[in-house]
Amino acid sequence: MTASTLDVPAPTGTVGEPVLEIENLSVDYGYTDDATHVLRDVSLTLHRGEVLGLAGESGCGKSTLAYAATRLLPPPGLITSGSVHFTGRDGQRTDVLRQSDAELRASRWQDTAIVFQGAMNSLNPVYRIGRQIADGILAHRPGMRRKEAWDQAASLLEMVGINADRLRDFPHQLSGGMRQRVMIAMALALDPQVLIMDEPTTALDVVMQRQIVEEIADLRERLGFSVVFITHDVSLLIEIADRIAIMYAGDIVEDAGAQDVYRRPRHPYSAALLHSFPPLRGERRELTGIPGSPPDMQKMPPGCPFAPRCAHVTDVCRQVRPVLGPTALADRGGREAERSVACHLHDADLEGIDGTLPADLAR
Amino acid sequence: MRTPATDAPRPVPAADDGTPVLQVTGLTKHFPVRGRRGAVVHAVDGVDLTLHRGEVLALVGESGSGKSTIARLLAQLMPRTAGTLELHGTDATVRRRRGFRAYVRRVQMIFQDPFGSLNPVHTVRYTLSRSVRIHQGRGLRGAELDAALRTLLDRVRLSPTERYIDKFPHELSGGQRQRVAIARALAADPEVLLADEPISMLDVSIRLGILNLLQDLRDRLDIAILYITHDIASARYFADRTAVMYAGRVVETGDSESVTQDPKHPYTQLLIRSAPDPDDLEARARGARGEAPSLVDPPAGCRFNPRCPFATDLCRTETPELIDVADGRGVACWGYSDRADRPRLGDVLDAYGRRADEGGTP
Repeated sequence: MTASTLDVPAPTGTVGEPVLEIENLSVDYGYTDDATHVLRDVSLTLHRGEVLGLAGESGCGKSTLAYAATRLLPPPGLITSGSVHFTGRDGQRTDVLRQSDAELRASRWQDTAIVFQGAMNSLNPVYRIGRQIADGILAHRPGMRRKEAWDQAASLLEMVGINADRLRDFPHQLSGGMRQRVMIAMALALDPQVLIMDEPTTALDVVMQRQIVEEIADLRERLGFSVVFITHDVSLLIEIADRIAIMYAGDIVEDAGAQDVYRRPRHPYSAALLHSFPPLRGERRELTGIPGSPPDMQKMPPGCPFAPRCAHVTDVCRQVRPVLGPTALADRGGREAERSVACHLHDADLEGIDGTLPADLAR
Repeated sequence: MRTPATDAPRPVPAADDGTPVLQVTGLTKHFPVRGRRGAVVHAVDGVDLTLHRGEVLALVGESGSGKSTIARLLAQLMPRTAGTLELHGTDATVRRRRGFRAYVRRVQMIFQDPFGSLNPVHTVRYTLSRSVRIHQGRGLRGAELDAALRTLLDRVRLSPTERYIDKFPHELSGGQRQRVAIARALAADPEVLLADEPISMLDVSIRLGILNLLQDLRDRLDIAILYITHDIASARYFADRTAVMYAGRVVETGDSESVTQDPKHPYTQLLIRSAPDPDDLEARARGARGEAPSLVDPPAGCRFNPRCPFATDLCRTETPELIDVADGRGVACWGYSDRADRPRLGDVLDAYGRRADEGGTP
């Protein structure tokens, strides 16, 4: 790839300090008493320079979490409680949920950029792609000359591996993979600190998916932004993410390093989800998936939402909803102490839990 | 009239002497391009496929490679441009409505989207009754019909049946809906099931349940299944044989285990090296570039040649046929021929790595 002429400020701020902190965020769909509680007290922290994977089945609230944290939730979505704090490069901490419309407008794209689900179809078909990128830049840089914005658009395209002479193409003249790259280029136009990617590769085939994923990893290394990568493809996440949060029915059930989740899952759902993908290598064996289907969010059972499908269910699971906390093996120290899990099996103080984890969760 | 009430295998037809249930040779489909006279999209070109009783054949390829077109051609939902289609060794081309219905009774299709393939205003009972009465006789009613419906729901593991039979599609989850769609196909008691991406719209945790159900139906009812997918790992899990497609042609065939563990064609190698595999992070194809060609003007010779790191002039001029490389395995690549000017194949990983280092994008 050719070096970009875009002047990229060196990544500032130390890796590891939080850039986006979501605390106890709750989201309802609907305004009446029978509203559906889609997210219930979800907390998640994104650190600087980190790739955080959000995994889960469709309808588990992955996208809702990302859109709520950026205040892009369309009606009837309603944030009922919680806070979202964004820390800028200068160390200034702002509460995203309390920003005025004007502040929000200025910070969007500049601080937090999003590549939407089905991004391939979110380009305007009647404008040339150069104009669409330049428009975004000009909206945030009043006084910049159109020519300058186009030049910048050209270097952005080259950055994502597309020849700059495609600037004057219309979206339909580009292939799906190229359109996806254009969307990524647009998202990076203002050098954001947080890039949220909602299923960016789902519509692409695996060869193109690999190219895009490499592109993102490469750009992150050079530009130093943080990524929230949302997908249902856990195997892909293990490869690209530093940390993975697994969601089930509106809760984060496990939050740990990517390799840790894969090698040593601590939540029964994470373990079962990992066994839902037939392996490409190794022994061919009978897999079962997870019995039952995800719960209806309008009729959530009391207790743990995964209880009806869980192989290790106990009486307390059906009554009390578990919260995210340390694992039962946290005294092993090191990385183990940094992970958290929402499962009663890890809480030996509860009645009916004998404190010994099932073998497949205690590796 | 056959009763579907028992799960015993059908009496073996007299013609079953190893003759494939469904066989196509030279299957070709060209779609005209609107506004460009004479121009066609070469969606499928010269594809040979055979389906045997009790066997699952996976058709793997990226979007736009012609997989679904093949399914629609096999179901005779549209006419083919060229090629022959034989059911039990006899030509099965349908021309009229009556012939089509007789054909559909034996070859049924399951679609990708269970949200779109079931009519939302009708209950499961209505949807299945329609299919049962069309394929098993209009006279079927009352207790007899009810028993037939319950057998079908039992077969797709929707039990207790009373819980599902009077539900509308919107009251069912995606996996349950797909099971109803499968039950509807089974009502015809078919010999062939054409499953076009049957799991890709479903939640990941229930996909395996559907694959296991289809596998079970294959074993119990001895159905031949064509499983169309873009996920080569699921083909390995579910299918006995796998055919890999690229740009409208079959580039590699063989038993699923050998095709996935020891891919021969450079495209198959690239495909397998690109799939995410957390156990093998190192051996992933990095730096691969390029995209599938336009099918309006497909490249001459091997259609993979513009992306292939080993392509030579031979690949750019002459089209390779499937070459036998091992027992039951065929590869459409000149590298496996005995011609003097054949390309020398290397490891795709090395080849793509090297090209990325040179900084060249073809």
